[in-house]
Amino acid sequence: MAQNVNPRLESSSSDSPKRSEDMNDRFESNKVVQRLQKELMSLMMSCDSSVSAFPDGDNLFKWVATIVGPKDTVYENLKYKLSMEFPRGYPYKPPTVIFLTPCFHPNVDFESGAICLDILKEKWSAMYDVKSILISLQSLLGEPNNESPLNGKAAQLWPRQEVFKATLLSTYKESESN
Amino acid sequence: MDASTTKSYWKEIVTAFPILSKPEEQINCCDDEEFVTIKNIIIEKKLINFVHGMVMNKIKQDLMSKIDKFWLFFLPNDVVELSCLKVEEKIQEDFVGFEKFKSAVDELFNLAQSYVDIINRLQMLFENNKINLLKNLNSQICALLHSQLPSDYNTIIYQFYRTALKSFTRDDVVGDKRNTSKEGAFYCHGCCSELFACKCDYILESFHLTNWQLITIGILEPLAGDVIVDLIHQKIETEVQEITKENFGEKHIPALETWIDTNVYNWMKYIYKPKCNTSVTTLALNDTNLEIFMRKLKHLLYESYTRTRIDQLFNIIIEYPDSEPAVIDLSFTLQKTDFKSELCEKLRNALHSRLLHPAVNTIDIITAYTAAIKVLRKIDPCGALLQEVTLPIRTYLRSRKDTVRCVMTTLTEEGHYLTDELVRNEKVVNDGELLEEDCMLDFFNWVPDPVDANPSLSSKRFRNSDTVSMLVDIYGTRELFVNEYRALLADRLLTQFMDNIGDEIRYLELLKLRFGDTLLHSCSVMLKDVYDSKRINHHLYSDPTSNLSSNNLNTEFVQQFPVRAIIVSNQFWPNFKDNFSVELPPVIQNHLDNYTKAFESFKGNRTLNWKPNLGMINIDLELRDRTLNFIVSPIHATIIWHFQEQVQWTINDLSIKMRVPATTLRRRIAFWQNQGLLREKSFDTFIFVEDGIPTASLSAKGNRTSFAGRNSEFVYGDDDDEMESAVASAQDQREEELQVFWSYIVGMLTNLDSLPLDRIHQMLKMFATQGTGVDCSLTQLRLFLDEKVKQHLLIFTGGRYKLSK
Repeated sequence: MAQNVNPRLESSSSDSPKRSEDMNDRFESNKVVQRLQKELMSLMMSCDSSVSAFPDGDNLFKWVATIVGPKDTVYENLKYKLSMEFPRGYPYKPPTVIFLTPCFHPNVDFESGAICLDILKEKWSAMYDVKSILISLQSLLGEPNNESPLNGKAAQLWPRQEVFKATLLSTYKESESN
Repeated sequence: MDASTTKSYWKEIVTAFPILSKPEEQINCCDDEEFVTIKNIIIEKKLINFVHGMVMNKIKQDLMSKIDKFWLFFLPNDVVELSCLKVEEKIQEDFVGFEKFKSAVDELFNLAQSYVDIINRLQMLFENNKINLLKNLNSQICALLHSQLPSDYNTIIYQFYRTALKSFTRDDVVGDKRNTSKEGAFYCHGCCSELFACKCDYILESFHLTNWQLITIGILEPLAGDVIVDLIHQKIETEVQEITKENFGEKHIPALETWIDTNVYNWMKYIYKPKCNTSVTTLALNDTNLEIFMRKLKHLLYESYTRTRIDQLFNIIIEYPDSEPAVIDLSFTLQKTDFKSELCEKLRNALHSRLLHPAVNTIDIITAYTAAIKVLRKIDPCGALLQEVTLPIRTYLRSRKDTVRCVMTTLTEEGHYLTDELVRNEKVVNDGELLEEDCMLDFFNWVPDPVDANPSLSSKRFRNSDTVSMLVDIYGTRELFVNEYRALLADRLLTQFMDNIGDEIRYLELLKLRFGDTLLHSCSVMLKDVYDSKRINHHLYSDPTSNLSSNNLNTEFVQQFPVRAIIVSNQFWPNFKDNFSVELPPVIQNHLDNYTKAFESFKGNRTLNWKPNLGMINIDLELRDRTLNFIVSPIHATIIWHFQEQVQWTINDLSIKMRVPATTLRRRIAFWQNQGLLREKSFDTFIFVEDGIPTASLSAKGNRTSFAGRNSEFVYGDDDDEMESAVASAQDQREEELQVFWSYIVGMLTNLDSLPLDRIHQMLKMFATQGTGVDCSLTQLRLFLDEKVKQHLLIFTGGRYKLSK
């Protein structure tokens, strides 16, 4: 877990009074902005068209992402929109990621869009970035973790792929027509 | 006191002051002794105030009746418009005015003098000198004069002083300006009459007298003060205009200062301090007053000098450094005057109307820009002025496509003044941070921005930066210039082969000092490539194991077509414009393959990838009666090569044979057409002509003999197409940058569905420009997006752009 602590913040907050913390905060948020800019640039420059993300409006801390379901899975060619919110402590703290497009998936809450993925929670590491999150999510679609389901029905249906696919497509169409 | 004693007293008083008598009475004025007794009576009977009042009243009445006459002189006798008179007539007119004024003052003076005796007696009544009656009288006269002031009284006064000034300054010469007109010999400059009838002395004498009279009465300043100042102003103005007329090569301020200090000073002294030993000189300006006045005049001199120079500043800039003295003068006077904002305004206007329009070459603008930098830095060392004035030039230069190229060309051109600049200022300026540090280091010499500087523009960047930095600063980024330099360097290396590479290395080192090593790394690699190629060439031809070396079997084959290659590292050279390739004749291709083999055996795992559209070939064309030598590009050579097998080709056949697009081919053929070697027999069909005449030479020289006799050497590059550089220019790079934008736009639209134009622009500005430092205006973006709509990559509906599916 030690890698998830900003070393600079740690050392300074222990011995300096509140004001310098304030300064530190501003300094840090500037760093975060720089980091996010950089990530955006590398994402834009990469030629992978199956994952994509862009800041939603003027706020660099809130992005909208799009992933396309991986090939040879039931999610093939389905497009999902997600929202990503970055905390001030990014990348030492994980972003909050939820599905905007309702997603019928064992590890995704159909109503709220919440995702159960360890790297977005306790296994987060500062080494991850937007692109790796999106790629992880993409592969999560094809390989759900049925042991800790958020969507019980989906988890039940998963072993029977044809039925699952039919349900998935009907829910997807529903959401699209909405 | 009875009536009779009163009457006798009155009689006595009247004898003392005859003015009190009735006009018809004949009174004998008493002499001084009698006056003493009368005075005692008056003092004894306490009649001082009464007598004083009576006398002054009388004088006033008298004055009022007579003073109209003074103004009568001022009425114009005949209505003549001065402006329509010729110069001589004007002078004549002036002289009449001079005479009039003189007699008017004369009369007034006599009038005033006639009261002096009375006043003096009156003064004696007062024990103390608290009241200066003479002064009172003078102010009374002045007041009366002003109460009846005619509207155009100034005309005559002007005439009077103008005439006198002319006579006074007839021998005046400022600097080495001399009146060399033909009349000079026969006419006096002062009064413009023939020399033998010169009236100058007379004029000056009467002038002197009149001034003295005016001072005595004390009305010089109230009556003529304005006129004198005005004339002096005019004089200074014309003098400055005269001396500064399109003449920037000399310093004028010292000369003008001496002129003010001597000639003008003398003139002022001449007016205000007539050399008469009267006690009334106290009424004139005393020394300190004159000093103050002179200081004002000097200031005026600076002002008018500055104003004229500001009007000429554009020309001064253009002629810099020849106009250096004028610049020094201006920087001196500008400190003493308050014209900075005017200078800014005027210069900006001048630049706008004379420099920043499409008719001016970019290179000229850059030259003017650098001159302006130098001039303005001299005038205003802290750079505030510089920044404000040159801002429009920078903005304008940014809009020109060839700016970067021009700057880099001039910077690295042999013998250009900017090259010298580059050599001279070998100051390392890496980036903004270092600049900041520089400022901190010599904070002792720091001077704040002048108060009139525009506070919204910080002059920090302009304080220390030199001319070259200012040029590079046009775009704000060094990368752009470095990229352009890379393209230029590539161009030069490819066209000049391995000649003066030493010079290039020197320039590169100089540029490195300025731009830093990292940015110019690829340029060093390029130079190293060229150097290495030279070595490899040499090695391949001399190494006995190589199949190119002379002791090999196919020596003859090799010598038939010696190949020299420039081996470039693809990574570091700018992108080549290889939009077409060319199929070389098999024989030549064999040679190249042979070279490749030699290279491969020498360098192990490496091979060569030829770029046949670059490079040059030295060919001899053996015609029936002469041999022509050309240095041309491979494509040209290939064209003419094919004509040696077959005299007639159609464009289409040749295009298939050479694998070159027909349009390109046609353009290249034009070169040989110009040389008179190919002729278009019928449409798209060309034949080879043995005894053709080059059209260029024909038109230039008109006869053929001068050409036919000798071997001519032509360097390729006659037609404009050839001048196009082989490498991608900044323009192409711009396209690449737009490509960067495109990926951002795709990212944006994938996630946010559809967006209006301004939103896209805003987002790009916010997220995409940081890293690249590229800017894209709204209209540019619209054009770009519309292009994408045409390519069916985007859909434009309801004012919003959307990705097409």
